[in-house]
Amino acid sequence: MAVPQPSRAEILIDTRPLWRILAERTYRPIVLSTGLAVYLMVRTMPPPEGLSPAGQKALAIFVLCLVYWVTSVLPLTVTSLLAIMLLPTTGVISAKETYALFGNEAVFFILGAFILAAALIKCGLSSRIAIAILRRFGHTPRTLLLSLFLMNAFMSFFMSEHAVAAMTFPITLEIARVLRLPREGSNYARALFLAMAWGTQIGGIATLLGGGRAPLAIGMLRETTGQSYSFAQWTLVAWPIVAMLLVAGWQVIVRFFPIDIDSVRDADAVIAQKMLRMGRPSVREKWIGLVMLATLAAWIVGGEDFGLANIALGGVIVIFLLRLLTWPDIEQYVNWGILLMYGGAIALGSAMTRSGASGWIASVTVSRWAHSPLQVVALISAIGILLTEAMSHSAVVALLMPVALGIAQQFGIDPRVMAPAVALPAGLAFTLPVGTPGNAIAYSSGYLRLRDMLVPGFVLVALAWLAFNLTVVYYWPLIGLAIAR
Amino acid sequence: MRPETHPAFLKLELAARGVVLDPSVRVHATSLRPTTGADAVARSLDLVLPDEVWVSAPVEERATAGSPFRLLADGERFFLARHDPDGAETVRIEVRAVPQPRFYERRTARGTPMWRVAAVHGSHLVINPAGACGFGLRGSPCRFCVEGARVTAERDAAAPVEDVLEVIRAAFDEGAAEFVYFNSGFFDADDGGIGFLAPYIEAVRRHFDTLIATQVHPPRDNRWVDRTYAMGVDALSYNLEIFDEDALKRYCMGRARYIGRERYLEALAHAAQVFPSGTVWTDLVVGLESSESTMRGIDALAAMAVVPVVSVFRTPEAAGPRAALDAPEVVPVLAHLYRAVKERRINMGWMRDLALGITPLEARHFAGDGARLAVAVQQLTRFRLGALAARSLARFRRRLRVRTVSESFDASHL
Repeated sequence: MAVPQPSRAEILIDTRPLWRILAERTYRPIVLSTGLAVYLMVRTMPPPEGLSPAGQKALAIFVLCLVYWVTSVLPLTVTSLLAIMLLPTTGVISAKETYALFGNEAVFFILGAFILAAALIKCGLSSRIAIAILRRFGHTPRTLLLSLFLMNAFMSFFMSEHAVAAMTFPITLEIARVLRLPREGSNYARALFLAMAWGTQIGGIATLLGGGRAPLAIGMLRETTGQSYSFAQWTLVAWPIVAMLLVAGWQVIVRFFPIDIDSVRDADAVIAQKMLRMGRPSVREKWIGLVMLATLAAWIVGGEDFGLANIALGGVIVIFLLRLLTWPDIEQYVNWGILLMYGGAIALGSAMTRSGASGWIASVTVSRWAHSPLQVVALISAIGILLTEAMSHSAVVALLMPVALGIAQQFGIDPRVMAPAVALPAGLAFTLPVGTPGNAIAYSSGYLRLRDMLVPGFVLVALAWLAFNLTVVYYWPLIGLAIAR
Repeated sequence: MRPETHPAFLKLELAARGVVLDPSVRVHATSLRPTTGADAVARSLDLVLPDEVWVSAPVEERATAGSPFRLLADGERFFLARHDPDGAETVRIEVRAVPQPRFYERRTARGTPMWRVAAVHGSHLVINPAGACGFGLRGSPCRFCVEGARVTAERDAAAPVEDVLEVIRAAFDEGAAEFVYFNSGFFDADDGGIGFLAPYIEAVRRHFDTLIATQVHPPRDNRWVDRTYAMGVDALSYNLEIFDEDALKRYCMGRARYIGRERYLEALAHAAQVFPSGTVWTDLVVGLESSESTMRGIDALAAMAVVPVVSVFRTPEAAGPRAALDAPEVVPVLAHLYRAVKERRINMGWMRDLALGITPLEARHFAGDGARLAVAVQQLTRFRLGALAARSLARFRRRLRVRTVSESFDASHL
């Protein structure tokens, strides 16, 4: 009889108290069962006043997705697929309508933006831009830190903030290494990694390209009200918040972590070396840069006439026509799961609004706590900015947008206000590594302790909420975005 | 109950002074269980005293000369009688004399006598597949250890896993043992001998629903302690035997020279953090060092959550400690043993049915404490349902505690 040898896999013994391990291990089945129980409870309870039977079913699905999205017991994408599966099977909307919602323009805009960003990264143009900015401006500790902060923000105007963080992290890490910054106790190291993470967060809300939140919110807005935003309009709405946060973020970083080194000559040398190694821009880089610029221009100039998604896909097709990229390259860089997630979230949001469930939620929640349109926006933005500290940005938009649109209807608020009121705060996670991949990447460097992110991050969150509401009150009316109709 | 009739007191006395077999017992000689197998210390008889206290009492004439105890038989019943120096009987209590397991007479499919593969001690089936003490091979066995003193030619080849499984099946089928207890004399490997036992332990895990105790030497790297728990060992001993460093060097040269006292203590401390409370133990042989030193050892071990088990009888002929073993001197040590373990809130229920050592719970008699709760819990595990619950809980705990690195990466969502 053959007896197998014991496994030589590395064994870890978890010596924490058993109740803690047990709680951790049983968390998933408990949450899954809780979601199911809540779903069944909402489905079978006597219909509340003002809620149609279809609305009750949509509400049950929404609550189920809420539990699973907030707790992440299932991948966000799978929860979205669950919503897509439940909407037609429970009769909230037909299968044809459900799957048609999945083909929303926002989904294809995001797909196009992902592919264009992939082209930038793959050809090395994004790295070249990053290195060039640091080479040009980063000669003293202060200018190096500031250029890293602004460079991350700037690049997140044009590509997903997560991709920017992933791209600039190795550069930041190398700067910290060549400067021989200690892993513990170095203010400059902490400032570098916070500048990297926060720069991408702040820059990510400036345009529709910084992440999927804004396209998702616009997609849900369009499905519900038929209204939308152009590329330029969105940027016009967001830029004062970005400007204020860039100033506030810089101040928070340098005040919490005063610069404690005198020279960055070693980093300077490494950056120069990197620049030298890159050589002259290749033809491919130049063409991709050109296509990107042309696409940007088209979004700004012709976004309303031609459609953002059409322009994005047009840019993608040109890239393939010029053989600048291959399909396997795309597969490495595009997050297909997030596309499925957006499709499901848009379908659920639309079903919520059509069935009256979002209006009903609004009437029993925010409508009772807030008494004026301004209070509503302040409350929605506060909820969004707090949720996003621990939740995926897109999940926050998927949860809040249907409710926000219902509230807008009740308070007579222009529904267009709700898209930035939800999507902009949902992109501002500064305190926890779990809030966004950018924070997690910075935290993984080992130079930051949780406390280094938590305390200054909380200060920046408060400033961000303040900046957002100041913009809503004083700036948005100037560009024709009045809260009350 | 008078102090001299406490089962733990009787155990101590019987272990030290042996028991004379009355002619009435001789008619049962073939059916009684003489301690046998590879690690037999001396010819002795397993008796079960009141409160399920097991003792292995020497019965050879040279070891029992002057013993006040006599084992008598009345039909199928056995009685332990104690006589004063005048020959008057002062105590008589009924005991259980454990019959010799039937499997001792059998052979495995390969033709190996089963008694050579495993021996029953208390409720434990003790298996030493290596059949040799590594210290003995290096010429530095413990001075009180018969096994270590055996000449190389007497050593057995490693028992095949199939033989071990066959013997365990035979022992369990006839109800001769409840638990499996592996012993390995290997020490000169990074794993301290557990790697050699691993195939046996895995095979037992797959074929039997039982608890497994293991006595090996400390590995050089604590990761092996973790692996020991992960592979399915429920109770673990790195036997230090003697706490005093000088006495250890004197009596256990191999332990002192090749492993070192500090490594024993480090490995025990780590194991106590990994294994359930009360399942990591070490023997302390009383009488080889001063009582104060033994008590210091008890304190140090209890502080690390390790259970000290006081061993009172390894063959005294080689080292001559018998002369030092005097019950009145040992009583305070045993009382201290119970109090120290209780004070540290170490679970006393796991250590039971040890015929060759006094457990902290047995030592409660010397501290004048009933320890009713601990005794009741231990009693529960003697019932089928209680034993099943104990095994299930041990398995469940292991499933919760043991993780592989790949699982940790998955959980971290990196």
